[in-house]
Order: sequence, then C-alpha cells, then structure tokens
Amino acid sequence: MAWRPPIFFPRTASRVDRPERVVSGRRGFLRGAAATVIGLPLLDCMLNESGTAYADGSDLPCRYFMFHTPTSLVTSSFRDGGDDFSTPIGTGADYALTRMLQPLGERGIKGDVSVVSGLYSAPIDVPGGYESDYHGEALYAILSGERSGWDRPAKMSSDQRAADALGDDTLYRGLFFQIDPTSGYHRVSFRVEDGRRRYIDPQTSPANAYRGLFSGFTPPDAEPDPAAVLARRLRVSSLSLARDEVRSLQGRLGASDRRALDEHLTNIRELERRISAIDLTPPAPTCVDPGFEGADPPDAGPDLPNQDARARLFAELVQVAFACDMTRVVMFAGTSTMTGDGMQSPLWRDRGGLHGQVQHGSETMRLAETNAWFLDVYADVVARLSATAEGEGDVLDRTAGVFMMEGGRGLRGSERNGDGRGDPNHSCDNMICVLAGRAGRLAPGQHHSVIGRDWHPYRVVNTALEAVGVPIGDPEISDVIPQLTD
Amino acid sequence: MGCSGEIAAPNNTRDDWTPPRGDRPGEVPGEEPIASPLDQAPRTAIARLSRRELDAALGQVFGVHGAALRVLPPDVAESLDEDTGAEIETFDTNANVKTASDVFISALEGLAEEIAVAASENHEAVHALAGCTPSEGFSDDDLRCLEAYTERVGRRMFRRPLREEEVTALVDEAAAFARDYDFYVGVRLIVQTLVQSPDFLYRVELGTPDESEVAEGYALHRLTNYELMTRLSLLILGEPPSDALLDRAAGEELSDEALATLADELLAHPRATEQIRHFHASWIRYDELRVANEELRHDMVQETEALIDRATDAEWSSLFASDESYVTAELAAHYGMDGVSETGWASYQNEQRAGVLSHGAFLSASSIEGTGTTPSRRGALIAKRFLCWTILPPPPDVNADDGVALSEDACKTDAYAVHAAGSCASCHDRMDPVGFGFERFDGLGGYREVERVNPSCTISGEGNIEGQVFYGPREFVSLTLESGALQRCGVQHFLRYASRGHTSGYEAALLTRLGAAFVGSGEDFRALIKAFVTDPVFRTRKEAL
Repeated sequence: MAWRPPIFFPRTASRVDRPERVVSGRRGFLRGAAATVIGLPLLDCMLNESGTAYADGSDLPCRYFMFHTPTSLVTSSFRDGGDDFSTPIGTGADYALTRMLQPLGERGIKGDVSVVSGLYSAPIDVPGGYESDYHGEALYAILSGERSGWDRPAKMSSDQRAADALGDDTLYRGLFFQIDPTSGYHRVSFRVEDGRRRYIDPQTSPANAYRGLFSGFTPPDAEPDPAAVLARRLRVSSLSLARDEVRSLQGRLGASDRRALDEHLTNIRELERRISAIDLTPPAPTCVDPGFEGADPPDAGPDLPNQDARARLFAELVQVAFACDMTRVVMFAGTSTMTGDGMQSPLWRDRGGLHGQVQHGSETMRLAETNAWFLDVYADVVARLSATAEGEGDVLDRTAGVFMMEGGRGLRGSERNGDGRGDPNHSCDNMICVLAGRAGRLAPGQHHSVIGRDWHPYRVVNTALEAVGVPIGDPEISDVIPQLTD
Repeated sequence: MGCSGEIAAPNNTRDDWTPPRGDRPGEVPGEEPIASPLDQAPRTAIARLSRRELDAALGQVFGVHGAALRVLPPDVAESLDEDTGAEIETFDTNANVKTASDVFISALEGLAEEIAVAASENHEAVHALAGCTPSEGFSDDDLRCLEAYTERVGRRMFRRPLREEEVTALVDEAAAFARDYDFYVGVRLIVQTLVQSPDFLYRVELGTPDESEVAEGYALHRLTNYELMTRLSLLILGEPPSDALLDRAAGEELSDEALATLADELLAHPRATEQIRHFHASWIRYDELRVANEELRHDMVQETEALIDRATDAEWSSLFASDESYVTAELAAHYGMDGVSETGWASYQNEQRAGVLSHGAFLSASSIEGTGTTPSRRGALIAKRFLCWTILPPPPDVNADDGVALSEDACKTDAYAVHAAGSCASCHDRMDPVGFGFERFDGLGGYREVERVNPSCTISGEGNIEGQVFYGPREFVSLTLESGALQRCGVQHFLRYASRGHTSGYEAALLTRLGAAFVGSGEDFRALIKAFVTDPVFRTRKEAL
C-alpha cells in the first residue's frame, strides 16, 4: 500500500475555476454512546424542497473547526514601526493582502473569510490574561478565554466546548489532527474536569486518521465487499475479547492500577462504538472515500517529516469528515504549543526548528512567509469546504473556522508588551485572527481593525461558536465581535 | 515558580553515591532516604512496553519488523515534573507518561489488524508455530491445531503460559471463524486479539505477596519466574524473552546464582550491545541532531556510536575521557584535525577535547542559529544530563530561548553579567560558568578562539564548577570523574531508564549499592547492569493495600 500524493487545489485556483463540487452525505447517524446505527445517505430526495434541511425537518449540521499556528507575527529582530508583513492594509472589503495573507487570494477565499487585527490578551492576572509567561500560559488563555497559570489551563479549549454541543450524533465527537508527528506536553486541545487537567492526544498520523474514518467504507455503487465484512467481524470480535481481558486483568490488580486501566477500557469501548456505527450499506453517492490508504508520507530527510504532504492529507480528511458528517468538530494544529519548538520542515530548516530558526533567528519577512504556509493549510481546508456542495449551498455555509496564532506583535518598551523583556515576538498584542464561513449570521469578506484592551482573541472564537449554535458557556471572555456578523 | 530555588549540587567525594538533595524523585525535603526493600520496589504492575519493545516483540514472534514503529504514536520524550515544573527528558521506557488514549488504542487496533493479516497469510510460519498442519475444512484435529497455535504464540506474546480459560475463550471464537471461513481466518482472529491484549501491551507483574514485608499500607510482591525473565530480557536485550528463555523460566524459582549466570549470558548477546547503545543514545540524545548537513550529521552519529561501543566494552569513563575519536576525513577537517584521510580512530590534536563532550553530536544540542551558543542553555543541559542537577524553569518574565542579547559593543562574558543580579543569580551563577567552560566549541562542534558576533573578543574558555576552574571538556571531565559526579549521574540515568520511570525515592539506597558495584568492577557498564538485575529489588514490586 503505497502512499500517494493527495489531490489538492492549485495555489492559483480562483473561486470560479475550482474543482467541481462534491456533494456531501450523512452516513452514520448516531445517538449517544450506545447508538443504534441508522444508515442515512444524504440524497437530494432526503432534503426538504429548499434543500436547507433534512426531509424529516432536522437541520443540516453545523461545523466548527480551529487551525492553530504555533508562531507570532514578528521575530526578535523586529523594531517598532517596522512592517510586519502580516497585518492587512486598509479595512472593510477592499483591504490589501499582505505577504502572510496571500493564500487567501491564491486560494480564492478572500470573500469567505474575515480578518480581525489588533486583538489583545493581557500578560497580567486579569480575565483572559496569562499572568506573565508567554510560552507556558498565554496560549491556554487564548484557546479557552480563561486566565491561566504555568502549564495550568483552565476549563476547556473551544473544540472541547464545541464537541460537547455538536458531537453526540457523529462517528467522532471531535477530531484533533496535528501535522508535526512530534508531540510535546503543551497541547492545544484540553479540558479541566474536577480539578484534573486532561490534554487530548493529537492524531499525528494521516494514515491512522484515514483508517479511523474510512475503514469499512463501501463505495456507493458497489455491493458490500465480503473481505470488508470479514474484516469488520474480526475487528468486533478481537476488540470484544481484548476488552474482556482488560476487565479480567483489572480484577487482579491493586486499586491504582485498576484506575489506570479505566482509560484503556473506555477507549476500547469508544472504538467499538465507532466500528458498530460504520454502516456497510452504500452511503450517499458523493460522500467520497479519499482513498489514500497506506502509510504516512515518507520523511523528506532523516528525522525531517514531510510537513506539507502531511498537512494536505489532513486537510483532505477534514473536508471528507465534514462532508460525510463523521464529525462536526475539528481541532487542526501545526504542532503542540511552545511556538513550534522542534517542528522542522524543508521550508525552514537549516538549524534548530521553527522556533529557534524562524521565530527568533530570522527576519520578520521570513516569518511572514512561513506563516503564509500555515495560513495556506487553513485556506486549503476553507477552499475545500467551499467546494463541497450541501443542500442549496456548500458546507462552508454552515461552518465557522478560526485561524488562531500563538502570538502577535508586541511593542518594545510598551506596557502591552508580553514578556517583560522588550522582545516583541513573545506577546499576545496586536494579534490577527481569521474567521471563515457563513454559518449563523457570519458576514465574511471584511478586515476589521480593533484596537483596545477589550478585544481578546477568544471573542473571535465566541463569535464562531455562537454562529454554529454552540453555547458560549462561562469563560471569563464571553463577548463576541459584533462586526463579524450581519 | 521560577529560578529562585537551589540547584542541586554534585557530591564531592567518590564514595558518596547519595543523589544530590532535591534530585531524588519523590523526596521529601529534610528527610533522609529510606533504605527498606519495601520502599525500593517499583509500584505499578502494568508498565507499558515502549514502541521499540513492542516492535521487537512482533518481529520476534511473527517476523514483522517496523510496523509498530510506523503505526503507533511515538513514546513521550519530555514531560513536566508535577512538583517543580521542571522539564524532564524521559526515556522511552518511562511508563508513567504513557496513556491509553483514543489515538493510541485506535492505532494499536490498526496495528493488530495489519499483523494478523501478515501472520495468517504466512501459512508456513503458522504451521511452524503451531507444530501441525491443518486439513481442508475444519476437523477436530484442526481444532487441536488451533489450540496448539494459541498456546505457543500466546506464550510468546504474554511471556508466560496462557491460563486454560484464556485459551478456551480465544479458541472458541477463532473456531467459529475457522468453520465459517477457513483455519487461517481463525489464526487471524487469534493474532488480532493477542496484539491488543493487555498482557502483551503491558509488562504485567502480579507476583506473589510477601507477607514478611508489609508496612504503611503497602505490601511487597515477589515476581514470578516469568515476570522476572521478562524484566531481564526487556532490560538487557530490549525484547521479550525468547522461547528458550521462557523454557528456563518454567519450574522452580530462579536462584540468585541462576539469575547471575543468565545475566552473563544475555549480556554477551549482540542485542545487549544494541541495547546499551540505545540507552546511551536516549541519555545523550545524539540521535536527534539538528545538523542540517546530512553527511556531517551521519559522521557525528557514527563517531559517537563508535566511542560508546568502545567505552562500554572497556572502562566506561573513557566515553568522556578518550583522547581519540572515530572520524571520517570530513569530520576530522570540521574539527580541525590534520592529516586524517581515512575513517578511523585518530587523536583529537586539541588539548581541550576529550570524549563525547567534544563531539558535534553533543555540542550541537544546545546550539542556536547554526554555530551560535548560549552558555546558559549549554550549561543547563550539561548540568541536567551529566551532573544530574535539577534545573528549574526560568522565571515567568524571562524568555530563555534567545539567551542574552549580544551586540558588537560588548563581549559575551560582559553581556552575561546581567545574570549575576537578582533572582537569576541562584541558578545562573552555577550553570553559566559550566557553559562558559565549553565556549571555545561552537554550535556544530568546531573550535574557535574569538566570538562570532564580536570577533574582537577573545574567548577565554574558562569555566567553573563548584569553585573549581576548568578549560574545555577535557578538564571538565577530569574534575567530574575525579569527584565521581559523572559516574554517579550516569548510574542514576541508567536507573531511571531501567526502572521505567518508577519514582518512589528508592534510588538513593539502590544507587549506593550499584555505584559500589560499578566502581568495584573498574567501571564496567555490563557489570553495572548485572548488579542491578541481581539486586534483591529487581525481584520485587510494591503493591498498595
């Protein structure tokens, strides 16, 4: 089973010459953990007359995703007054794209997204602030809208909040993809329950992610494959036996080891639930198996992952997972936090990784070019969702997708500078967020410049969550950004 | 949390093997380490095997190599100390940081399917493992053949004979598949189940309670022969016990003499050499080089591996004190060694170089911007890896990634004087001088005498460790070998690796015993391993009541 390069849109594709739309389908429709599988292919006849809802009256699904980029906007060499090559020039619909934002034009999605600049999270102990340490604390505040301490995130990241609201009816409550296969301990998906932190493990293997989504998938015009039927039976039986063995072992262990195996048992059950939900009846004709079964892309060199190939595979999986309604929530990250420490790529490698080489050690233009690659991955996802028809429109019509960075552009000597040492690159000042989609009342296609202490980046997240019907809940930062909606 | 606490200091005498205060995992400040066997035994009964060990097991039983390394998520390499917030480099054996997450369990299930397909399609291997050949259809003889396969493969996978109910459960289900399809589909079900079984995935150590050792809510369990053999084989060979070793585990409890003999046999095995190299690679981390030039990178790894092999076959301290190194002509030129035209051992030709701390493989680990260096970062790295000091994270308002900003107006030593003030001093006063002692070696291992940013500044290369001045790796190694700090830290790291992240404070007492054995053997690394596996602690586990 050889890896094959994915098909993705050419960088120069405009909205008018994108590939033909793919019509989505809803294959497995689950209710709760002990779900009964209802094969429910989405055919036109299953929608209402206007194509805005299922024939049974239930709404077409809304989706939420976030793409996390582990960098800020400027490097250590940045000086006040310099060009960051990132913040848009002009406001409203006619803003000019900077170097970092060029993928929005190249992918033809400028009209599908809004850009918000001037966002701010305070480096002090205030609501949504991060006490003082940029690396170990700031991102948790940005991802949760809640002040945080060193390695002490509070409450939950927004994908977890969205999964709680949108995740019960799908194969996966949520998916967490990470491009870089090296996973650090600061992860961007987390929740704190009963005082215990739980970092969610990212899926770093596109091949494993694909298998989880499409193993057992039957092409629409084919009879059920006997080999697939056997494989499924074997999976169910072997998991059942393994589950029994875990239970049996638990009975012979002390209390702490018994508890340690609880997670093992829980995740076997979760896997069994997903396998039982794989409907072997032919799904909707246009819910397409991307077909890249096999191994992950080979490394570009010794210990040098092919980040671009991995990213494109994950982007395609986000598209099909949404299109086939296998999940409605995705967290998609470049790497774990700490500004991408250790993440390496031929794009930026000649010494120690993204953080040392680019974030600190290069010129700001080079960082903007690197950030443009991350934004291009996000734009790839947005373009794919826009090209995926659903009902009378496309999947992006019912999606809100946030592009969130780790930092912004600090000002030397400013009280708003984050790290207290006058280095502008480790600061959550003047941050940029991008919000894609037309879910709810989102009104894309604008650049909004918001200057002031009240414009926390999590307000963009709240706007996105509200647009897809997720309760904002009780984070310290609970406002939205009104300009992003009609 | 910040750099306001003490850095644990190295000890000053060769005979004192007590770890530095504050560095004993789980230690309560002010209390002396407890030496009771009960407090020295690992606690968990279910330490998960590393990805590398699982791959070795699947290669050993089914001849499928590399699948686990490809499919399973990597083992966690770093974690945070819950108490101090310090970043900890962990070994792949560390069971404390492994979780059975959704991602892991899903990947394991995918791996199980892949292995099962490969194993069941290799009919000759199936027949060999079962010791029988199935007929057409599925007869009673075939059922017995399936049972034989289950018992034999199950024993290899679980590293012990299967219980009767375990065989029955597997064979009943497999027979149903065999009847519906064929014999080999039954085999597929068996393999697919075994790979996902907790008895394969975890090093299960139930043992038997030792009634004589009960205190403070804990009991001591003595390992069974099979459990002991598994510990031994995983530690020395990096793979589960072979059929032959499992045969030797059957019967009466292994005596101390038998265990010692067995350890000698295993330590002479070629895989033991690989395993010793793996430990050192995980400790020194020379296999994770960030050196862009691929040829140079290859040469550096080769250089370090060669020295490890040589040092662990002789006196271990030569790993740090060696006067010569295994270099290619290109690497020799990179180091400034003249007259080296062929790959082989050659003198460093530099009075400051000695051993692995002179290698590009090590010196590049703390580099920034190519050949750049930060004395703080390099000093901290040396202190953590080779002196076993605990380095707390920098204060919240400090960005440690950049080092001190340098300009053309000041020399590096002057710029770093900023660390002498305030709360910085408590850590930097000790780790910066260690880093400065290596400053004549750039971020790729090259030698230099003037600063990169400000060439008008001469690099003195003067370092200081606990009040003792040194210049370069050679003098640093001389001081720390003389005091025993380097050997002590090496033994301590080995113990962390071998104990799979067990952190109950037991190292203090055990370390003293192992240290004495190590020194007494003339610093023979294999003798150290043998001392550990023949120590009474190796036979036990601690169980909460």
